[in-house]
Amino acid sequence: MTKPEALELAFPGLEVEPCNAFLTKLEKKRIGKLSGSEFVRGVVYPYVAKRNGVVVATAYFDCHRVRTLRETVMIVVTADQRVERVEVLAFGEPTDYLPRDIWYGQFDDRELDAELSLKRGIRGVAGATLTARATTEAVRRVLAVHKVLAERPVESLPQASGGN
Amino acid sequence: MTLRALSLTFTTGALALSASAAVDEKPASQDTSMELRLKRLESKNAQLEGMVTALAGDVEHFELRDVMPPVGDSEWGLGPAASKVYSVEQGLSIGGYGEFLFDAPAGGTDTADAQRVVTYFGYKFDDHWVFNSEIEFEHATTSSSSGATTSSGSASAEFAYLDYLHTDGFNARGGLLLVPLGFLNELHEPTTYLPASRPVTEQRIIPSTWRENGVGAFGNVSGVDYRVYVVSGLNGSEFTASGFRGGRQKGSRAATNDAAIAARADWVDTPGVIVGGSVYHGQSDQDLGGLPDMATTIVEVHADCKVGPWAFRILVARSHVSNAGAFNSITGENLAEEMEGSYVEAGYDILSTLAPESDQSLTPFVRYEMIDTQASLPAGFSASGGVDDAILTFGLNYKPIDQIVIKADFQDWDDGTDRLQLLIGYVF
Repeated sequence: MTKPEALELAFPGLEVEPCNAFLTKLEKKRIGKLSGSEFVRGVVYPYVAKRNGVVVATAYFDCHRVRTLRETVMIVVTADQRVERVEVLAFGEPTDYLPRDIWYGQFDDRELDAELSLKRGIRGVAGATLTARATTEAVRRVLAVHKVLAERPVESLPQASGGN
Repeated sequence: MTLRALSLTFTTGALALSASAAVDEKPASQDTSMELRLKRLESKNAQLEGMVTALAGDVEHFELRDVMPPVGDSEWGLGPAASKVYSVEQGLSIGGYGEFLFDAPAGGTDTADAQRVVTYFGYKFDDHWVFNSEIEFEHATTSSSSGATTSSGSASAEFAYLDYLHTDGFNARGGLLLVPLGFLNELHEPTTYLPASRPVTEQRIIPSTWRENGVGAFGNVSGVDYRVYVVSGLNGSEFTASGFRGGRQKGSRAATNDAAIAARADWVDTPGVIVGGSVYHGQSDQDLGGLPDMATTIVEVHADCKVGPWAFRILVARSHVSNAGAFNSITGENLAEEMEGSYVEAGYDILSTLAPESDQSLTPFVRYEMIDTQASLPAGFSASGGVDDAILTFGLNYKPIDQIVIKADFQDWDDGTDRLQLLIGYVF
């Protein structure tokens, strides 16, 4: 699935505004602390979906290494900072290591807390531990980014990037 | 007033007038200069903003290159509701696992063994064709020189197959396949089971690691994973009183006068829970050396559940071989008509309670197993040379990180040899 197809799937009929946000050192540090793993990126790209000018949800695309190759997922976060869905767009490893859709459904409606962990509320996948861990870290990372961006003053919120 | 004074006065006045005029002119030019500078700065700022936006877009495009629409083609015929995953990225994927085992049998020779060092290689040709393989080195070397044994190690292809990915519900596979029976035959990385050793049932009755050349189909339909393969049959001439293990042909110039079918179904609709079963059936005589027909059937059912800190697993297996009596008469073996084995395993990660924030796990566990490789013998033969025992294994399984495991356990055999085992394992 391509990025435009994924956005259409997540936000049918809504206005989607692609944005970019440049993170300060303090913000990156806070994201690392909230997510539980170091955060090094300087720019993030929220896709803000609106209905009648009101923000409905935000989509993030996270690309990360599983074993040797990459997985790209779309993580949609609601206005109250919960996961609406996790959708796998690309998976470079052999499909033996790709969990079923039902596994990704575990993230629905979750928020960034201690339960969002393979040791707690997220059940693992026999034979796909690396994938399960990489995806769980990605969800935590995205929720942490979203939380930190939401803490910004209104005038410093992510700027529309004019489409990509 | 002298002429000099007048001249001085005039000059001074002229200078004063000139100075006054200059002060008046300076604000005007300064205004213009400031305005100009401001406009230039605004223009430059707009340029920089444009450049930053463009760079940010390029960075994102690079990061998400796998999922960007191909240039010039935005109509792929895929509906927005399509959930099929594909990857644009091609490439080599490398992984591996290994186990180092210290084994201390009661009254026997203690051994330290580089039991397995395994490398996975996978290659994605395109969205449909994928290659996956496992190369295993057992016992460190193929030399037979050892203070503890005369048998040698091995270097083997454990599996190597090509997949054609069609849909979630149907895909094809061919090559050297892992026979889809039991838990450990397909999934035997040390981090996936609790004790140091594999269950005896999954060594003798399901002779893991069991791989044969074959073709088949796999997929998921309505929450049920399935695999159905046609593979080279076992080589029955190597069957013994203690099981089928010797009958594996391992994909090496395998006699295939007799093929077999292996089929498996697992209900996987609830994350963390697997309930399923499998069956293997085929002739095993391979038309070799005057052997009778030896229809061989192995059936097993299993369940696995991992919920929070708890881990449970259960498996029951049974097998049947026809004409075992005739086989024994020809070969002098004591092969059973029926074998049966079962085990149940449970563990609890105590660190999830004592240190819930920790990524580590420490799981005390217990496994209870019963096995009888001569559960039913042909008429005229009595139990001898087989394995008929109950084994209680208990120990600790420690993972400092998900991919590394350290195990320590004790096996208490009713009749066989008790042993202490320590294992270090890894997977990447």
